[in-house]
Formats: sequence, structure tokens, C-alpha cells
Amino acid sequence: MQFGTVIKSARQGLTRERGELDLKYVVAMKQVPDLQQLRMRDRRPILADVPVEFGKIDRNALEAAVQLKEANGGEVVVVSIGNDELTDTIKEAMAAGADSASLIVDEDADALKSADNAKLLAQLIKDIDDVGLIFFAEGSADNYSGQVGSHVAQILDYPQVGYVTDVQIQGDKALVTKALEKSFEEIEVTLPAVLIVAADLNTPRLPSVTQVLQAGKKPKKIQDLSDVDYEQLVVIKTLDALAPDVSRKMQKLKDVDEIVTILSDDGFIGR
Amino acid sequence: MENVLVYSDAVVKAKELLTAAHLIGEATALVINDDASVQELAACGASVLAFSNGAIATADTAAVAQVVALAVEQSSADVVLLASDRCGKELAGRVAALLEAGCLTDVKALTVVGDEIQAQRNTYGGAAIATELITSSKKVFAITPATFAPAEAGEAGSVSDLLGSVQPTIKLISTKEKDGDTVDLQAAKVIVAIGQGINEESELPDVHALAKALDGVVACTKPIATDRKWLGEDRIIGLSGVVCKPELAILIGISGQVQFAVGIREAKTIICINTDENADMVRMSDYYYVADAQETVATLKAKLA
Repeated sequence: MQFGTVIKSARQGLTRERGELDLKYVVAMKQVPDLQQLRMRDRRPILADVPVEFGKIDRNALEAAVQLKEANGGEVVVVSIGNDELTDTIKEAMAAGADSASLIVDEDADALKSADNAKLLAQLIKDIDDVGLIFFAEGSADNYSGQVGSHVAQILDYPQVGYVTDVQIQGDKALVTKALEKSFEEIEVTLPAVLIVAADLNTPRLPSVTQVLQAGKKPKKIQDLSDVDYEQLVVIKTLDALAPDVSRKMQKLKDVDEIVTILSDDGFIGR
Repeated sequence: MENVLVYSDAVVKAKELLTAAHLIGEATALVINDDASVQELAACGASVLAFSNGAIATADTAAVAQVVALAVEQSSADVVLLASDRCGKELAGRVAALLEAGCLTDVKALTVVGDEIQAQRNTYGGAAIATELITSSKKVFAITPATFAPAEAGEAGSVSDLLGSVQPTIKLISTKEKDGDTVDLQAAKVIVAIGQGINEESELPDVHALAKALDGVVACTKPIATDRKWLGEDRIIGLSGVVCKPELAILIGISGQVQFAVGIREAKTIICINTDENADMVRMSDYYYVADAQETVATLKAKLA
């Protein structure tokens, strides 16, 4: 990472135009199955008994928010939607530096698609005062659609920056580095704004034993789907989800000359 | 016949989207602040909507989404096709929210079956491939680059201006090119990729030489770039890197975890070099050679020199 992997303090020498108001850094996190433990049967994923966790890039997003809070003051609030296991999964985020959480915990949550999650997250965020930045991961570990952050930004009518590798707060603005395929862009955005972070922009901290013990005591607001004004959108229909058919020749070669022959026969040499 | 709007800030990707659009219906291409691309896309037979407002940067996703929505209105489009690169993928969710459309990103195959547009994309971290439909009246698809061949110049299309007031939502302060050796894995015909079976950074020159002899590019698994930092992150193949479809992939010292395999399993021919005959990657290869990575690369390089 060419730009600082540590988010720097921007507090010194800056006047906070918002007065003494402490901003909230909201982090949207998604509980996903631990894909390392996912097994396939008849080309279909078996999700039963697979443990759940927050995605790795979601933990990067949380770390980015916690570092900003440490540098500038404020509060970190996690918003998340998930099945009953979320009440346990959330402890990991509370131990890693979140101050509070606003959750929708519902057994039907696993059936929600990106657009539903976006609408619900936007509702949770609207109920939070003094929001400065809202963090998302560039993609969830399971589906990787990368559309929920942008969707929420549009619903809330906030500006957004994606693929963020660095962020500093300057008064009522954030100075953000966005990593595109071939370039970095320095962008100034006025708060409140949605930032969608790139994978590996930082190294998430490992909570101490004390932090883990204290995590359970931090405030959590827990609702279920019947508590929120919401109607499930049906805009995506999944016809099937099967493991790819990867059958290939699997021809064993006995020496390097055979590799050369293949490369030559297929016209890859001397092009 | 449905009207389809295509948009990518990269003209080659816009041409690929035109090819996809022609499967579905009547294509209109949106171009923002880029006169050269307007002409190029019109030469491919597209109806081009040209939007000009120097205050709107490509990086301004919220503003660009509004321009796309304007173009959708003007062209009466039901389907929006975007490129699933970083710009396009970020844009997709915002456009979908604006249009109240269903949205699928990272689409790696798009087929029209009757009046349905079926899209395939990876799910469960690439362990499965989902075939999905969008059931809302407006639809947004972001398609993985190089899924379709670029449209070629042919009958001249038309150009009209897209008018409308859109305000910038961010301020672009500067753009800095990434350091030197960026590569475009998606465009590469030959890829030589290395994994953690390569033990020493000193083995890299041989790998580069081998790639050069085959007119290919060097790529890697994620740990080689992010942990060992031997290669740039633009060379990472896989779910959180690049999904590519070369004609030939030589995979050296790569065990083949699904997060990697998802990025290379569409290659036409896969040759795998690994010390472990039971590696997952071997099962996904056309040819495999069980041997030490370093020795094989050195020998192969010498034979091709």
C-alpha cells in the first residue's frame, strides 16, 4: 500500500467547525459464514453448522472508524442485520473498539438481498444523530456485490467515495484517498458522507482480554424485522447456485520438455 | 425490444458493453466529458448521448449516477449495463437505488433466454456460481471486463447532447498514477502466476523472464502481494483481486484456494506446476507437472530463451 496504512491524526492544529460536537462514525458490518469451513455436497454449499463471523474487509472498515475516533474524538456505532447469531457475533466488533451497536436480529434476515439490506441499514442510520462518516467494506466476504454502500448513500442522499485507502478529518470535511485500478485520487468530501473502504487498508487490532470482557456491557439497540417499517423487495431471483464444473484434462507431464511441447503446439512460443 | 443504456468511463469497456447490449435490444451509449470516446462509440453504430460538464469528475459517483439516470430517462432505457471495474461497481448500487432497479454486479456471463436476461456471478466467495434474474422493471448489470468482445466499427451511429443540471458532490484534488509497473491482467493473453510455493524473492527474475518469453504478464496470489510485497496489488488474481480469462495460465507453486481459483478458472488452458500432486489447483488444471517450482522455472526459461 503506497499510502499510509495507518490513518493519521488530523486533530492537531485544526479547528472543529462543528464546535464541540462529537461526530459518530457508523460502520455497517455483515455477518457471513466462515467460507474456509464451507463444504459442498452435490455441487451445493452446505451452510448448516458453518460458524459465522464478520467479513475481513468489514473488520478493516471498523478499524478505520476506530482509528479516526481515537484521533478526533467521537463515537463508533456498528449497524448490522443478521440472524439470531448476530447477538453473539457483534461482541467481536464491540471488543475491537465499537462503542455501541444498532442491530436488526431476525431469523428471516438470511433471506434478505442487497437492496433489502440497504433499505434497512439506511433506516438504522437515520435514527443515529450527528453522523459524520458511514463506513462500508468494498464487498462482503460471501456475496461481494459491493452495492450496499452505494445504495445506502443514495437513499440518505450523501456523497460517497469508494475504494478508500486513507482518510483524514479536516473540520467538516474528510480528505480521502481512493485507489482505482491504475491511479490514486485525492478527494475532499463534505460530511456526512459514505466511505467504502478497500481491502487491507489497515490491520485490524486484536482486542485484549479486558476489552473482550467489557464488550458485553456496551449499549446495543436490538430490533427485529417487525419493529421496522419495511417491506421486502423482490427484485432478484436466484435460479440456482452451484459449484462450478471444473473438470479439465488433468494430464500429468513427466518433464519440462513436455511443457515446452504444449506451449509450442498451442502457438505460445515465438509469437 | 428493450432499450439498453451502456456506460463506462473506459472506452474499450464501453465497447464490450455495446456487444452485450446488442444481445438484449437497442443500445445507447452514455459518454461523460470525453469527445474522443463519443466519436469512437458512434463509429461502432451506437446512439451516443454526450454529457459535458467539466465540474463533474468520474470519481464523483453520486453525480455520475445522476447523469446515468438522466440518460436512462432520455433513452427510455429499461436495462443499464456498467463495467464491473472499481468505478462501475461503485456506481451500480447508486444507480440502482436512484432507478429503484434490481442490481447484479460482477456478472461474468449474460445470456438472453426467452424474455429473461440470465446473469451468472460468483457467490459464497467463489465456491458457487449463481444464476440470477432481475425481476424489477428497471435492471442494472455490472459486467466483468473482457466478458464480451468489444464492438467493432461499422455503420455510423448518432450523437446527441444529454442536457441536464447535475451538481458535483465531491472535490477531486489530485490524481496520481500508481507506481510504474501497473499491468492489466484482464487484457493479458498469457499469465504466469506465482504463489507461496515460490520461496525466495530472488526467484522472481526467472519468473519475469519466463513470462516475457511467452509475451505474458506475471501475476500472483494475494499473500505474495499483500504479505510478502514482492509484487504490486494490481497483480493479484482472485476474488479480491482480478478475475481474468487468459488463453494460457501457468500457475507455479499455487495450492488453489477457492478465493484464488475464482480468478483464473475461466482460463482456456491451465498448466500447473506444484510439488503437491494433491493440490486443489492440480484438479483444476489441463496439464500438471509435479516438481520444484524454482528448478522448473529456471529450466523452462532456459529452454525458451
